[in-house]
Amino acid sequence: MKSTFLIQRYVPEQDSAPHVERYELDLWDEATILDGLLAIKDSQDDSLAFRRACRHAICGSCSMVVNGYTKLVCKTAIASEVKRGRSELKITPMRSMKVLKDLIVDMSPFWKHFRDVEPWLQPDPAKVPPPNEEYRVTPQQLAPSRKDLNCILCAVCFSDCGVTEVDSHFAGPPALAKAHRFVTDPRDSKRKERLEKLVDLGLWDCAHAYNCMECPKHVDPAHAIADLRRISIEAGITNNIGAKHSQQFTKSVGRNGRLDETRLVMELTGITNVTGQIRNAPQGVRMLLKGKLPLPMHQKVDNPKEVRRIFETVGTKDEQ
Amino acid sequence: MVDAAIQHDVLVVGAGLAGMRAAVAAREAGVDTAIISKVHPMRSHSGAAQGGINAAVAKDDSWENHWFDTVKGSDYLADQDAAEILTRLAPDNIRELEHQGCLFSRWQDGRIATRPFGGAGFPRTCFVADITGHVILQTVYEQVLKNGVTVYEEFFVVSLIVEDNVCRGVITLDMSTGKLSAVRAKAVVFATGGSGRVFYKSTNSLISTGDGVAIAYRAGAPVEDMEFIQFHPTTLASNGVLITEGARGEGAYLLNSEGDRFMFKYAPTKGELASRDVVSRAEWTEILEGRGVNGCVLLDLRHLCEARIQERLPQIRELAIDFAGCDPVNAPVPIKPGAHYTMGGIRVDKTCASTVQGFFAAGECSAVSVHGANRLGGNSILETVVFGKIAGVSAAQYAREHDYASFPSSALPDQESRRNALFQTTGKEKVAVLRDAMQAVMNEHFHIFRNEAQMAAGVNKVRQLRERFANVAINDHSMVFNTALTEAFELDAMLDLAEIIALGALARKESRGAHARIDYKDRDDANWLKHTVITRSPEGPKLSYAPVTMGKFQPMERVY
Repeated sequence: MKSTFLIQRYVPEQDSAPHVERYELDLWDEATILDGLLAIKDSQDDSLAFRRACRHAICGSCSMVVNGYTKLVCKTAIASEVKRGRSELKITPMRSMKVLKDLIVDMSPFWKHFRDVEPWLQPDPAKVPPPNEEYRVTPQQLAPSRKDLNCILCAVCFSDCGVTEVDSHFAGPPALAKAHRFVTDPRDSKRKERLEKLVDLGLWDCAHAYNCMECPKHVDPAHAIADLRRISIEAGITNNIGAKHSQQFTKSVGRNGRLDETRLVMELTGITNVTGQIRNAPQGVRMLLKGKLPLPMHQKVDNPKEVRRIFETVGTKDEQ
Repeated sequence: MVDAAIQHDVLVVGAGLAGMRAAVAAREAGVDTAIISKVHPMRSHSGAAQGGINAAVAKDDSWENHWFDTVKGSDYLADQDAAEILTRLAPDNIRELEHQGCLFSRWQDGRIATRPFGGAGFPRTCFVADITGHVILQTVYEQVLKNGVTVYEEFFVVSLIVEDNVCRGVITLDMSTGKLSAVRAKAVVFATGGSGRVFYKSTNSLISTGDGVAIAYRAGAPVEDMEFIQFHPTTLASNGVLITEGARGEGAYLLNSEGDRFMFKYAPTKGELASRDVVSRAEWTEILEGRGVNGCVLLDLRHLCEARIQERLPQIRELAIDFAGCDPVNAPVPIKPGAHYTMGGIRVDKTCASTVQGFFAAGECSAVSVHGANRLGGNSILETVVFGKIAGVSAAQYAREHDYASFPSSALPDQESRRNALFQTTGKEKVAVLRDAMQAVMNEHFHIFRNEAQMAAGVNKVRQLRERFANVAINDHSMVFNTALTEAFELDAMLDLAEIIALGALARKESRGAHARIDYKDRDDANWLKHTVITRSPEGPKLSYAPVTMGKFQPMERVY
């Protein structure tokens, strides 16, 4: 099968800016994109630099952007791109990290976020079993973190996350999935401390774009983040803008069937916080001038009782 | 003498399970410890281990049974004292991993679950679904972070510095800058993994090029039993990717083209769960005798049903779909034996010390030797944790008792010249061409069944490739991530190993474990119950032999 690779090249010692080079390939039908890159390196241009190791989606080395989406290229068939109507494969380095050479990026920010969640078990020393015994953990207790364990730290989701791109402070999906693995571990004793720290690391900064759902290992970091938020509210960690927003939002919709945006802002600021309310005023004026201010008198839905019944049935704790 | 920019009491090379376990142990012993690795630790090949890790954790099992199974599996070539350490310490090492956070799969009562594995008399393989190595690698990396061990990632070690039989450190290439530098250490531990890439379509990662074994050999450390290469019975035909023995452990069948479960012809009792050398030979015999399916046999999981496959073997289901276009829930998977594991390695004693002072080795790059002529499934990652830890403790103790030894002034310039030679040569040979040729030679001449004439021809072909390597040129002359250069270094190492494997195999006139000769079909304990030891000399590789440490298990006929 013939294919064309358009690869972004950049050698810091020679190039002031990246450029694209074109490679023509004729490989077997099932060839992966990694097979294509290896073929180029072996028989066309040995200077092409990219990371690779296991070639079967367990080491997480070979993530890069293919036609706009970050992929683990050992797991992605060339034919699958052709099938989605891309006759050429445009391959660029991952996003949100500095390019070092060709398709190799500096992953140190990624690893820093990973370390920041203190990714190791922190048990209560008094409860550690003797050396000849294990902790008793039932299969049911293992279930919540099962998907998190699949994470190979390939950074596909980190590269595709819209928040990571604009906010270097945000821990990002993989670090939060890792945190979820420890928060849900019955052997860990630092659940509350972890959750409080996660709020600082951006637990509430995820903007629900769900780009991380395209995980090559089906980790589902978006679910891990939502679950961490739910657990943190249950644990009483509500003195932060994210939890308050979530609670007030739910309350508002539950009350009237429709979000009362003006009241939400006032309640988030604190009804009695006069200086805070005054500080919000100029923003309100600007919104008014642009025609963006919600109506001062909130409109309920026609039958708010119906909505309240739904809320009662589902239970507020499942708001996520 | 050169000034080293970097120095550490204990320097571990390799950040897979054995390396990181060694580093954590050395750090806990209170010495300054660092790891050097050519990839980020989580990219290491240990993560590809799927099916599990053996330990007699169950009440009605015993470590002595595990010990016997290991020695029998090794075709009696394992050192029985080393195998005793491996199996006796296994249960506590498993629980230590569990206490550190490893989320092993469980029974309903909350205890660590076990599954049957090949060559074992009891279901004693602990596991995390079919991602066991991956999850243990996470756990051990977590301990590296927790203990604050320094890790030099993407540093490629090019030589081990030994003078007067005392190890002094290494020369390393910082891949991100191209800078070669000396790293001094009081003790060095190699945990550099296997050499699977010497063969074609190995299950091994592209990084498993045996650099560490070749570098140690060049520095004067003897290597042992390198002719024993394990061919794993179930690898995907398309790209050699591993399908875990856990599939058969969970009950999968092996079928030939006639739909027969042929394994009982070869292993009347254990069938599909005989040891790996036995199963691979059986498969290859079926294929040679015309009962294969397009050069493969079939691994049938269908009767396990979707729920069980999804719970216990989700990764291999996906691998089969991605790389063989076949969902094991609905169709049998075509598989064949593929090069998988290097039983031999750097010759070390029970404390992981080599014959070079201050130089230690653990894991697949070493031969301690617990696997002998054939490793049991589930014993490889066990070896990495048990002996990784022992190596770390031994190295820390050595480092406390010794000071830094001086570094010969030629060590760094020698390596700079070696690189410059690759940059400046006007030769026409290509790394990829020679590598492919080497892999083809090894597969053709040193495969599952071997014979004198074929191996002798193979030795010559390997030597011709070594000569051609002198004319290798690379086009990439940049300093930043010059992966053409590191691939040339890797090929250089693999050509040494190919010759060592070939010579060891040609010399051993018997069939034992993974070394099966059609011209010497039987095991010959009278003449060959001994380790092959190969040492570098000015005239080339020098073969000698060393006794196997025997114990309570006397060699018996090996039937499964």
